[in-house]
Amino acid sequence: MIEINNVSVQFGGVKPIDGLTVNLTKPIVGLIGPNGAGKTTLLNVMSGFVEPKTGWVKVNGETITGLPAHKRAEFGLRRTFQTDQIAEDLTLLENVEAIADHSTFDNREARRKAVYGAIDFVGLSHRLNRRGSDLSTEERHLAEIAKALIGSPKLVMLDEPGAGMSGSESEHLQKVIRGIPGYCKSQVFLIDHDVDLISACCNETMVLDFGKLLALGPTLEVLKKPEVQQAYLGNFDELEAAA
Amino acid sequence: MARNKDKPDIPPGTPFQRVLPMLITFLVVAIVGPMFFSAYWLNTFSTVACLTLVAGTVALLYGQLGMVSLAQFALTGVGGWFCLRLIHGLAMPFELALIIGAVVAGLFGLILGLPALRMRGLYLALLTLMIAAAVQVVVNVIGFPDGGPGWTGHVVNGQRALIQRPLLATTDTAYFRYVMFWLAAGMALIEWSRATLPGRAWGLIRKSEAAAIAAGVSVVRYKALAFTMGGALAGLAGGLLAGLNGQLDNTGFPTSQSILLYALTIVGGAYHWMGAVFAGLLIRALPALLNDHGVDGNLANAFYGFALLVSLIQGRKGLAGQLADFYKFVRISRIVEGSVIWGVISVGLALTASYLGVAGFAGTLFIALIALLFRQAIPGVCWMLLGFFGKRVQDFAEDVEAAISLRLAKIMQVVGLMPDHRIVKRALNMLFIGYFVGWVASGVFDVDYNVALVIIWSAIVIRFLIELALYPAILTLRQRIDERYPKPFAAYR
Amino acid sequence: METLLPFLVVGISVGAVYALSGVGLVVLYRASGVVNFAYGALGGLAAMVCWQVIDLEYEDWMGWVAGVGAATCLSWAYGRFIAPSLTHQDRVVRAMATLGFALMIMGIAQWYWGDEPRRLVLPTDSGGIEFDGRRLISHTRVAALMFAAAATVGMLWLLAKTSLGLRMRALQSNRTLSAMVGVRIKNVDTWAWTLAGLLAGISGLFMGNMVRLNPTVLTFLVIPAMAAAMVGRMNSLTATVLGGIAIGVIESMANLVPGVQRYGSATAFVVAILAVLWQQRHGIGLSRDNSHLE
Repeated sequence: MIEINNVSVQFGGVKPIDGLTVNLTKPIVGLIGPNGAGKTTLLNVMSGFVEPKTGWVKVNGETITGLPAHKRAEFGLRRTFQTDQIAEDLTLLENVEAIADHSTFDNREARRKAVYGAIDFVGLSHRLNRRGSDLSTEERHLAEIAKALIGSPKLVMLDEPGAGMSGSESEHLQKVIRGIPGYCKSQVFLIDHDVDLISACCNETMVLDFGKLLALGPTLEVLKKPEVQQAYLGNFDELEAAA
Repeated sequence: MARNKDKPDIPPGTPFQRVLPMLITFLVVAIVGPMFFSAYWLNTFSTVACLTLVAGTVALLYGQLGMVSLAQFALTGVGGWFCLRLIHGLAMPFELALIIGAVVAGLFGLILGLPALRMRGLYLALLTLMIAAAVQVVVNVIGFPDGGPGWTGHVVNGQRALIQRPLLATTDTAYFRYVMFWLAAGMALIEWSRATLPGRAWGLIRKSEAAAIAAGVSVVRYKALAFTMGGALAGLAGGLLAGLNGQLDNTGFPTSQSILLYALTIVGGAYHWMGAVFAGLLIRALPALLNDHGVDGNLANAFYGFALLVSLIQGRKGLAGQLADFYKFVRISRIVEGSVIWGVISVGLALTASYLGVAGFAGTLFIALIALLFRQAIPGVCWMLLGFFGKRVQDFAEDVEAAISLRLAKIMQVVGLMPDHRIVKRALNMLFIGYFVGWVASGVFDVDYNVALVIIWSAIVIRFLIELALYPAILTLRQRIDERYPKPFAAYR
Repeated sequence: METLLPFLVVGISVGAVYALSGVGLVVLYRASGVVNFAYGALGGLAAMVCWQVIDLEYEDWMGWVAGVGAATCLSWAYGRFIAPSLTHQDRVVRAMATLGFALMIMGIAQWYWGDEPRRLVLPTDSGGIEFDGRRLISHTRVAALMFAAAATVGMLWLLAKTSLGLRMRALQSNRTLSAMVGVRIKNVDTWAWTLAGLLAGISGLFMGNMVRLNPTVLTFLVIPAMAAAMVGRMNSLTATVLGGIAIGVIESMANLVPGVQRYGSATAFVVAILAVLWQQRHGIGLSRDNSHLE
């Protein structure tokens, strides 16, 4: 569970997030909003790269605001980045092992299971020894997700994991994302523009606009709301007037 | 990056598997080297070994973390200074002073790494350049310890004292092996780190520090580790240099050498241990060779600059990277074939030469082997250098060569010989390899230049004739071995 | 104070040449993102060519034109033919490529002209500003100062007021975006390199006169120039000029302090190191595209 309480962020004159208060309880939560709505900033607040000016954030009852960024992985927060961060010179296996190096396991067998299990879960077992630079876009995104599943995370935050994927690749991704809560017992926070992906995966969805909460609720309901559609597409009256 | 889908995914191997080939190479060189080289060249190669270690630290920082450190050679000077000071001041045994000097240099490296934590690549390069330049001035002023008074321990007017070589290694041969031992140890440390946890952490950091932090990797710790390791090993090399000549010269650590060392590490290849070896050879052995032949060292600098430009434009992994790629995918059958044929030719020529009294056995053996081993690699580099003048020039040259070769091949076919579509390239390569290796060999092995040319060209022609005459047998042998060992060499570790 | 004055004046004039070189470096960096290690080498080449032409009994001005022209042409050629092959690589690689270029020029120049002691004499050497019956500063040094000032003002004007300058600033801000908007990268880059070559050539002539006429020495004068540019954070022309002059003055003043005197030539480097540490004193944060810390 994610509890966000009155979080505000200020960069100079810009306020990307303004007094945001929301509780996210469902296994897979989506976050959508037009460009500049504050989605990535919220993600940065939660992963510790940006300090909020006001408010706090709790995950599973423990406060994470104030915890330094490099300690959040240990706490159980994992995130992916929009631009993929697969190390080019390492193989896929080495990439995932690198994450396992900095997590704790009961013994070597448990670590082995975690690493190979994560790669198998996202469906990349046939690419174990391929160098990062030789992986395709889809494989890179899936590898990123595999890395995020190491070490029994409490919360996995995915930032546009489907960018650049085709239809069939996207279907596989949906399957993977839907399976995460069952695989490692963690909550998933999914940020994306792809409405298909969000509706296929997320139990509930949150909509941000200009740093404020616009809507929260079951995904299909939220997407049907007029104010959400207006934020994305604009008002029909405005369109007619401009024509 | 276009990928050849036929190439299989070869696992990188356990750390031990990755370190072993390198250790074996160093061991062979250490044992066999003194048999071939004069005392002058042994000492040169001892210096080369030390510089290889420093180049290895440059490669560590650049290849693993993308950090340009132009101060590694300065840290070598620091290590050498402390080693000398401890021996002169406290009469410490050599090994102890060597290690303490390395530790101190490691600390300096750590201090150097601290600003690096906050700096992007280019600024770090400039900062390390400033540090190298500052160290050059300081070293120039205070000199190196040589038995003098005061905290600098430097004698101003009068006899400079030399330090003794370690008890284990007083002769030139012994010291060469001693240095090779330390080189092997240092490079093994680097390779081992690259193959295990630190290497993986560095890989993550290099791609994205933010992602590394989000994954719980302490960027500070691993950058500090790299800088400390780099500094300590560079300092170790400094102590070894001090032990070689008993002293170090205050003009011996100019900024130009730092810059050149970095440039040649790139040219040699920053991603593979052989690159450091090439860098050491280029920065020290080649100028010595040029000196022998009376060629101005400045032209070498000009060529290095050219080579650096080409390396960077091509974006490849340097000489070592290209060689490594080749040897990674070569088949077992080719290795067997090569070893047998080259071995027979080289030994045959060596016996002939020593029987006729025109050249020594060892020298001839070495020359023939090198010529056969690199008869394609070295000219290949030159064809690649054509790319500097633009893709069009390179393509044009290749097209002209192919056209002429084709004509000649047709003629050969008419006459009844086996047509060779690359005959012009082969001929050019052979000429080039002859002149190049002959020039190197005549300087290093005390063999007459023309004799060397004859040896090299004979080796290549004999090999060509063997292939021609025994082609069906060779083909069958290849197929038999390919059936038993179909995968490339690297997959059989 | 009176004993200090000559040191101060010499310091300012030496510093002015550092400043001039620094300005050339910063302008090129701002326009193309490349730190030009070949700046000193180009200057050295200009000085040697100039000397050679004069030595062959041609007119002085022909020597200057030939020297500066050689530097400008080579720099133009690099910008036109070699730099484009590298545009997609990161800044470090592009800077190291200029290092290769520098080694090439230095190697060939040093090979051709060798280490013989030579002097590059400029007509302004003979006169100077007098003070109290003693020559305080030669006209050459005054000319160097004035030229540094003029170059700075000229570059500032270029960047702020001309369309070329606008395009240069656009490229520095975001190359890809600028290209998409229609800024012709190759065209602007070539101009940047040509200007850099021009500045390098002229500062090379001054350096050859004031320091030493030796290709290797002149090549490595790029390092103090970089020190000045680092004081200006590779961005501010005014800070670079002030930094260069400060380095020159401190270096000169160091001659007065007995213990420090022999370390004087390290001034530029120490100043640069301190400047960088000072500039980096704030903490680290995440870059805008989340890809790295800065």
